[in-house]
Amino acid sequence: MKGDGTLDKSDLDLVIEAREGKEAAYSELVRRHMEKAVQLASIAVGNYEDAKDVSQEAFVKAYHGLKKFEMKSKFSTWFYRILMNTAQDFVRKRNWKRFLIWKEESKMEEFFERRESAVASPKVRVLQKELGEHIARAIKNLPFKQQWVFTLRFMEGFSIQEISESVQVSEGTVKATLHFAIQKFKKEILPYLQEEQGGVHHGI
Amino acid sequence: MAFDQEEEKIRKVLESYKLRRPPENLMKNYEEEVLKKIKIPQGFPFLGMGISLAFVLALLLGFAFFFHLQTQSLKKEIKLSPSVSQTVSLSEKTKVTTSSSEGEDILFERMAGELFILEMLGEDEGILEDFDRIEEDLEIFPQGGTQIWH
Repeated sequence: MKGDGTLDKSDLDLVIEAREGKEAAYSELVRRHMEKAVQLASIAVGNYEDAKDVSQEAFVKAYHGLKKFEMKSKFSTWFYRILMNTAQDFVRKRNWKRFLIWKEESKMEEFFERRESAVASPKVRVLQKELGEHIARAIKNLPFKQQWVFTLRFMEGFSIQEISESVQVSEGTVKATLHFAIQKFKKEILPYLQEEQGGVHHGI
Repeated sequence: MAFDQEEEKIRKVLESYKLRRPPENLMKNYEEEVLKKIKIPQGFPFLGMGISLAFVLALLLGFAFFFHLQTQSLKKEIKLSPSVSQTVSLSEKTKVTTSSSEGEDILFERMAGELFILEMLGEDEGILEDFDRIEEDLEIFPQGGTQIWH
Protein backbone atom coordinates (compact mmCIF):
# COMPACT_ATOMS: atom_id res chain seq x y z
CA MET A 1 0.00 0.00 0.00
CA LYS A 2 2.82 2.37 0.87
CA GLY A 3 4.90 1.28 -2.15
CA ASP A 4 3.05 3.69 -4.46
CA GLY A 5 5.02 6.69 -3.19
CA THR A 6 2.16 7.85 -0.97
CA LEU A 7 4.58 8.63 1.82
CA ASP A 8 6.52 11.14 -0.28
CA LYS A 9 3.51 13.07 -1.46
CA SER A 10 2.36 16.37 -0.06
CA ASP A 11 -0.94 16.72 1.76
CA LEU A 12 -2.47 18.52 -1.20
CA ASP A 13 -1.41 15.74 -3.62
CA LEU A 14 -3.02 13.23 -1.29
CA VAL A 15 -6.20 15.31 -1.18
CA ILE A 16 -6.38 15.23 -4.99
CA GLU A 17 -5.92 11.46 -5.01
CA ALA A 18 -8.43 10.96 -2.21
CA ARG A 19 -10.95 12.97 -4.20
CA GLU A 20 -10.43 10.50 -7.03
CA GLY A 21 -11.37 7.73 -4.63
CA LYS A 22 -7.91 6.43 -3.67
CA GLU A 23 -8.41 5.01 -0.21
CA ALA A 24 -4.67 4.72 0.48
CA ALA A 25 -4.23 8.45 -0.07
CA TYR A 26 -6.81 9.38 2.52
CA SER A 27 -5.48 6.74 4.89
CA GLU A 28 -2.07 8.41 4.68
CA LEU A 29 -3.62 11.83 5.35
CA VAL A 30 -5.33 10.43 8.43
CA ARG A 31 -2.10 8.81 9.59
CA ARG A 32 -0.21 12.11 9.27
CA HIS A 33 -2.71 14.17 11.25
CA MET A 34 -4.38 11.72 13.64
CA GLU A 35 -2.09 12.27 16.60
CA LYS A 36 -2.38 16.03 16.49
CA ALA A 37 -6.13 15.72 15.98
CA VAL A 38 -6.53 13.59 19.10
CA GLN A 39 -4.31 15.95 21.12
CA LEU A 40 -6.29 19.02 20.11
CA ALA A 41 -9.64 17.32 20.63
CA SER A 42 -8.55 15.98 24.01
CA ILE A 43 -8.07 19.50 25.37
CA ALA A 44 -11.52 20.47 24.12
CA VAL A 45 -13.42 17.41 25.33
CA GLY A 46 -11.37 16.50 28.40
CA ASN A 47 -10.43 12.86 27.80
CA TYR A 48 -8.71 10.71 25.20
CA GLU A 49 -11.57 8.28 24.54
CA ASP A 50 -13.99 10.99 23.50
CA ALA A 51 -11.19 12.83 21.72
CA LYS A 52 -10.61 9.77 19.58
CA ASP A 53 -14.29 9.52 18.64
CA VAL A 54 -14.55 13.24 17.92
CA SER A 55 -11.39 13.31 15.80
CA GLN A 56 -12.47 10.23 13.82
CA GLU A 57 -15.86 11.81 13.19
CA ALA A 58 -14.05 14.93 11.95
CA PHE A 59 -11.97 12.82 9.55
CA VAL A 60 -15.13 11.21 8.21
CA LYS A 61 -16.75 14.64 7.72
CA ALA A 62 -13.58 15.93 6.06
CA TYR A 63 -13.59 12.99 3.65
CA HIS A 64 -17.17 13.66 2.61
CA GLY A 65 -16.38 17.37 2.28
CA LEU A 66 -13.10 17.04 0.34
CA LYS A 67 -14.71 18.49 -2.79
CA LYS A 68 -15.48 21.67 -0.90
CA PHE A 69 -11.83 22.10 0.11
CA GLU A 70 -10.55 24.88 -2.16
CA MET A 71 -6.87 24.01 -1.59
CA LYS A 72 -6.05 27.65 -0.81
CA SER A 73 -4.77 26.77 2.64
CA LYS A 74 -2.98 23.79 4.16
CA PHE A 75 -5.06 20.64 4.62
CA SER A 76 -4.44 20.83 8.37
CA THR A 77 -5.79 24.40 8.58
CA TRP A 78 -8.98 23.34 6.83
CA PHE A 79 -9.25 20.08 8.78
CA TYR A 80 -8.81 21.79 12.18
CA ARG A 81 -11.87 23.91 11.45
CA ILE A 82 -13.92 20.74 10.94
CA LEU A 83 -12.37 19.28 14.06
CA MET A 84 -13.19 22.40 16.07
CA ASN A 85 -16.84 22.37 14.97
CA THR A 86 -17.17 18.65 15.67
CA ALA A 87 -15.62 19.06 19.13
CA GLN A 88 -17.86 22.03 19.89
CA ASP A 89 -20.98 20.05 18.89
CA PHE A 90 -19.84 17.20 21.09
CA VAL A 91 -19.25 19.48 24.10
CA ARG A 92 -22.66 21.15 23.65
CA LYS A 93 -24.46 17.80 23.50
CA ARG A 94 -22.55 16.52 26.52
CA ASN A 95 -23.32 19.67 28.51
CA TRP A 96 -27.02 19.19 27.77
CA LYS A 97 -26.82 15.56 28.87
CA ARG A 98 -25.03 16.59 32.06
CA PHE A 99 -27.63 19.27 32.69
CA LEU A 100 -30.49 16.86 32.14
CA ILE A 101 -29.15 13.97 34.17
CA TRP A 102 -27.19 16.07 36.65
CA LYS A 103 -23.94 14.28 36.08
CA GLU A 104 -20.75 15.68 37.51
CA GLU A 105 -17.86 16.46 35.24
CA SER A 106 -15.33 13.68 34.94
CA LYS A 107 -11.75 14.17 36.05
CA MET A 108 -9.53 15.81 33.51
CA GLU A 109 -6.73 13.70 32.17
CA GLU A 110 -3.13 14.84 32.10
CA PHE A 111 -2.53 16.24 28.66
CA PHE A 112 0.71 18.05 29.32
CA GLU A 113 4.13 16.78 30.11
CA ARG A 114 7.13 18.75 31.11
CA ARG A 115 10.29 18.70 29.10
CA GLU A 116 12.55 17.34 31.82
CA SER A 117 15.44 19.41 32.98
CA ALA A 118 18.48 17.58 34.29
CA VAL A 119 19.26 20.28 36.84
CA ALA A 120 15.81 20.39 38.45
CA SER A 121 15.63 19.09 42.02
CA PRO A 122 12.92 16.54 42.97
CA LYS A 123 11.01 19.27 44.82
CA VAL A 124 11.08 21.55 41.80
CA ARG A 125 9.95 18.65 39.60
CA VAL A 126 6.93 18.02 41.81
CA LEU A 127 6.04 21.71 41.69
CA GLN A 128 6.48 21.73 37.92
CA LYS A 129 4.22 18.71 37.56
CA GLU A 130 1.58 20.48 39.64
CA LEU A 131 1.99 23.58 37.54
CA GLY A 132 1.36 21.43 34.44
CA GLU A 133 -1.95 20.31 35.93
CA HIS A 134 -2.89 23.91 36.73
CA ILE A 135 -2.01 24.98 33.19
CA ALA A 136 -4.23 22.22 31.81
CA ARG A 137 -7.09 23.30 34.09
CA ALA A 138 -6.63 26.97 33.23
CA ILE A 139 -6.84 26.16 29.51
CA LYS A 140 -9.81 23.87 30.10
CA ASN A 141 -11.65 26.65 31.94
CA LEU A 142 -11.45 29.02 28.98
CA PRO A 143 -14.59 29.42 26.85
CA PHE A 144 -14.52 27.00 23.91
CA LYS A 145 -13.38 29.37 21.13
CA GLN A 146 -10.78 31.06 23.35
CA GLN A 147 -9.49 27.67 24.38
CA TRP A 148 -9.16 26.53 20.76
CA VAL A 149 -7.41 29.69 19.59
CA PHE A 150 -5.11 29.67 22.64
CA THR A 151 -4.12 26.04 22.01
CA LEU A 152 -3.46 26.58 18.31
CA ARG A 153 -1.34 29.61 19.09
CA PHE A 154 0.72 28.45 22.03
CA MET A 155 0.73 24.66 21.83
CA GLU A 156 0.73 24.25 18.04
CA GLY A 157 2.59 27.42 17.13
CA PHE A 158 0.06 28.59 14.53
CA SER A 159 0.47 32.13 13.20
CA ILE A 160 -2.37 34.63 13.66
CA GLN A 161 -3.08 34.32 9.93
CA GLU A 162 -3.26 30.52 10.07
CA ILE A 163 -5.65 30.65 13.03
CA SER A 164 -7.74 33.24 11.20
CA GLU A 165 -7.99 30.92 8.16
CA SER A 166 -8.71 27.90 10.28
CA VAL A 167 -11.35 29.43 12.54
CA GLN A 168 -12.64 31.64 9.70
CA VAL A 169 -12.65 34.92 11.54
CA SER A 170 -10.62 38.07 10.89
CA GLU A 171 -7.11 38.44 12.26
CA GLY A 172 -8.37 41.24 14.50
CA THR A 173 -10.93 38.90 16.03
CA VAL A 174 -8.24 36.28 16.58
CA LYS A 175 -6.07 38.84 18.38
CA ALA A 176 -8.97 40.03 20.51
CA THR A 177 -9.91 36.42 21.37
CA LEU A 178 -6.30 35.69 22.29
CA HIS A 179 -6.13 38.82 24.41
CA PHE A 180 -9.16 37.75 26.47
CA ALA A 181 -7.84 34.20 26.71
CA ILE A 182 -4.46 35.44 27.94
CA GLN A 183 -6.07 37.62 30.61
CA LYS A 184 -8.10 34.70 31.95
CA PHE A 185 -5.17 32.33 31.75
CA LYS A 186 -2.93 34.77 33.63
CA LYS A 187 -5.52 35.24 36.34
CA GLU A 188 -5.79 31.49 36.95
CA ILE A 189 -2.16 30.60 36.70
CA LEU A 190 -0.45 33.50 38.45
CA PRO A 191 -0.76 32.21 42.05
CA TYR A 192 0.78 28.86 41.09
CA LEU A 193 3.59 30.48 39.15
CA GLN A 194 4.51 32.49 42.22
CA GLU A 195 4.44 29.32 44.31
CA GLU A 196 6.63 27.42 41.87
CA GLN A 197 9.19 30.17 41.64
CA GLY A 198 9.17 30.91 45.37
CA GLY A 199 7.87 34.40 44.80
CA VAL A 200 9.87 35.10 41.65
CA HIS A 201 7.39 34.41 38.90
CA HIS A 202 7.82 34.61 35.17
CA GLY A 203 6.84 38.24 35.10
CA ILE A 204 3.32 37.90 33.80
CA MET B 1 0.96 45.82 28.11
CA ALA B 2 1.43 45.33 24.35
CA PHE B 3 -0.13 42.27 22.78
CA ASP B 4 3.21 40.91 21.54
CA GLN B 5 4.83 41.26 24.96
CA GLU B 6 1.95 39.49 26.64
CA GLU B 7 2.14 36.68 24.13
CA GLU B 8 5.85 36.34 24.64
CA LYS B 9 5.42 35.93 28.39
CA ILE B 10 2.77 33.26 28.00
CA ARG B 11 4.98 31.49 25.50
CA LYS B 12 7.83 31.59 28.01
CA VAL B 13 5.65 29.93 30.67
CA LEU B 14 4.41 27.28 28.28
CA GLU B 15 7.68 26.58 26.47
CA SER B 16 8.70 23.90 28.94
CA TYR B 17 5.39 22.04 28.55
CA LYS B 18 4.24 20.07 25.56
CA LEU B 19 1.12 18.10 24.77
CA ARG B 20 1.45 14.49 25.80
CA ARG B 21 1.23 11.86 23.05
CA PRO B 22 -2.08 9.97 23.15
CA PRO B 23 -1.82 6.41 24.56
CA GLU B 24 -0.56 3.93 21.97
CA ASN B 25 -3.39 1.43 22.46
CA LEU B 26 -5.87 4.21 21.72
CA MET B 27 -4.24 4.99 18.40
CA LYS B 28 -4.03 1.37 17.33
CA ASN B 29 -6.07 0.73 14.14
CA TYR B 30 -7.08 4.39 14.10
CA GLU B 31 -6.87 4.78 10.30
CA GLU B 32 -8.70 1.50 9.65
CA GLU B 33 -11.51 2.59 11.96
CA VAL B 34 -11.84 5.90 10.13
CA LEU B 35 -11.99 4.15 6.74
CA LYS B 36 -14.60 1.76 8.12
CA LYS B 37 -16.70 4.67 9.38
CA ILE B 38 -16.42 6.38 5.99
CA LYS B 39 -17.92 3.33 4.31
CA ILE B 40 -20.91 3.24 6.65
CA PRO B 41 -23.87 4.92 4.89
CA GLN B 42 -24.45 8.37 6.28
CA GLY B 43 -28.20 7.83 6.68
CA PHE B 44 -30.77 10.41 5.75
CA PRO B 45 -29.07 13.80 5.70
CA PHE B 46 -32.11 15.68 7.06
CA LEU B 47 -33.14 13.06 9.59
CA GLY B 48 -31.86 15.11 12.53
CA MET B 49 -33.67 18.21 11.32
CA GLY B 50 -36.86 16.19 10.82
CA ILE B 51 -36.69 14.84 14.34
CA SER B 52 -36.18 18.36 15.71
CA LEU B 53 -39.15 19.67 13.74
CA ALA B 54 -41.34 16.80 14.92
CA PHE B 55 -40.31 17.55 18.50
CA VAL B 56 -41.13 21.26 18.17
CA LEU B 57 -44.49 20.41 16.56
CA ALA B 58 -45.32 18.00 19.37
CA LEU B 59 -44.39 20.65 21.91
CA LEU B 60 -46.64 23.23 20.22
CA LEU B 61 -49.53 20.75 20.11
CA GLY B 62 -48.96 20.03 23.78
CA PHE B 63 -49.12 23.74 24.62
CA ALA B 64 -52.22 24.21 22.49
CA PHE B 65 -53.92 21.30 24.25
CA PHE B 66 -52.87 22.61 27.65
CA PHE B 67 -54.25 26.11 26.96
CA HIS B 68 -57.42 24.59 25.55
CA LEU B 69 -57.90 22.70 28.81
CA GLN B 70 -57.19 25.83 30.83
CA THR B 71 -59.81 27.81 28.88
CA GLN B 72 -62.35 25.03 29.28
CA SER B 73 -61.87 24.88 33.05
CA LEU B 74 -62.17 28.67 33.31
CA LYS B 75 -65.45 28.58 31.35
CA LYS B 76 -66.76 25.83 33.63
CA GLU B 77 -65.86 27.87 36.69
CA ILE B 78 -67.76 30.86 35.34
CA LYS B 79 -70.76 28.73 34.40
CA LEU B 80 -70.91 27.39 37.94
CA SER B 81 -72.27 30.73 39.11
CA PRO B 82 -75.66 31.02 37.47
CA SER B 83 -76.49 34.09 39.52
CA VAL B 84 -73.87 36.27 37.84
CA SER B 85 -75.08 35.52 34.33
CA GLN B 86 -78.59 36.73 35.07
CA THR B 87 -79.79 40.28 34.76
CA VAL B 88 -80.71 41.31 38.22
CA SER B 89 -81.46 44.51 40.00
CA LEU B 90 -78.68 46.44 41.69
CA SER B 91 -79.76 45.37 45.14
CA GLU B 92 -79.99 41.75 44.10
CA LYS B 93 -76.65 41.97 42.36
CA THR B 94 -74.98 43.30 45.46
CA LYS B 95 -76.47 40.41 47.29
CA VAL B 96 -75.27 37.95 44.69
CA THR B 97 -71.74 39.25 44.68
CA THR B 98 -71.42 39.25 48.42
CA SER B 99 -72.99 35.84 48.92
CA SER B 100 -70.73 34.26 46.34
CA SER B 101 -71.20 30.78 45.00
CA GLU B 102 -68.58 28.09 45.14
CA GLY B 103 -67.47 28.81 41.57
CA GLU B 104 -66.93 32.46 42.27
CA ASP B 105 -64.98 31.64 45.38
CA ILE B 106 -62.60 29.46 43.44
CA LEU B 107 -62.17 32.04 40.70
CA PHE B 108 -61.63 34.97 43.00
CA GLU B 109 -59.40 33.07 45.34
CA ARG B 110 -57.22 32.20 42.41
CA MET B 111 -57.17 35.79 41.17
CA ALA B 112 -56.43 37.08 44.64
CA GLY B 113 -53.62 34.58 44.93
CA GLU B 114 -52.11 35.68 41.66
CA LEU B 115 -52.45 39.32 42.58
CA PHE B 116 -50.75 38.62 45.88
CA ILE B 117 -47.83 37.01 44.11
CA LEU B 118 -47.62 39.98 41.73
CA GLU B 119 -47.71 42.31 44.71
CA MET B 120 -44.91 40.39 46.36
CA LEU B 121 -42.89 40.72 43.18
CA GLY B 122 -43.71 44.41 42.91
CA GLU B 123 -45.35 43.82 39.55
CA ASP B 124 -48.90 44.74 40.48
CA GLU B 125 -48.80 48.33 39.28
CA GLY B 126 -51.59 48.93 36.78
CA ILE B 127 -52.68 45.31 36.86
CA LEU B 128 -56.33 46.22 37.48
CA GLU B 129 -56.46 48.93 34.84
CA ASP B 130 -58.03 46.70 32.24
CA PHE B 131 -60.18 44.74 34.63
CA ASP B 132 -63.37 46.50 33.56
CA ARG B 133 -62.91 45.46 29.97
CA ILE B 134 -62.06 41.85 30.87
CA GLU B 135 -65.02 41.75 33.17
CA GLU B 136 -67.34 42.86 30.35
CA ASP B 137 -65.84 40.33 27.99
CA LEU B 138 -66.39 37.53 30.42
CA GLU B 139 -69.79 38.89 31.50
CA ILE B 140 -68.96 38.37 35.11
CA PHE B 141 -71.00 41.43 36.10
CA PRO B 142 -73.32 42.13 33.19
CA GLN B 143 -74.32 45.59 34.38
CA GLY B 144 -70.81 46.80 34.91
CA GLY B 145 -69.03 47.74 38.07
CA THR B 146 -66.55 45.90 40.17
CA GLN B 147 -68.65 45.64 43.28
CA ILE B 148 -66.85 42.57 44.44
CA TRP B 149 -63.94 44.77 45.51
CA HIS B 150 -66.13 46.88 47.79
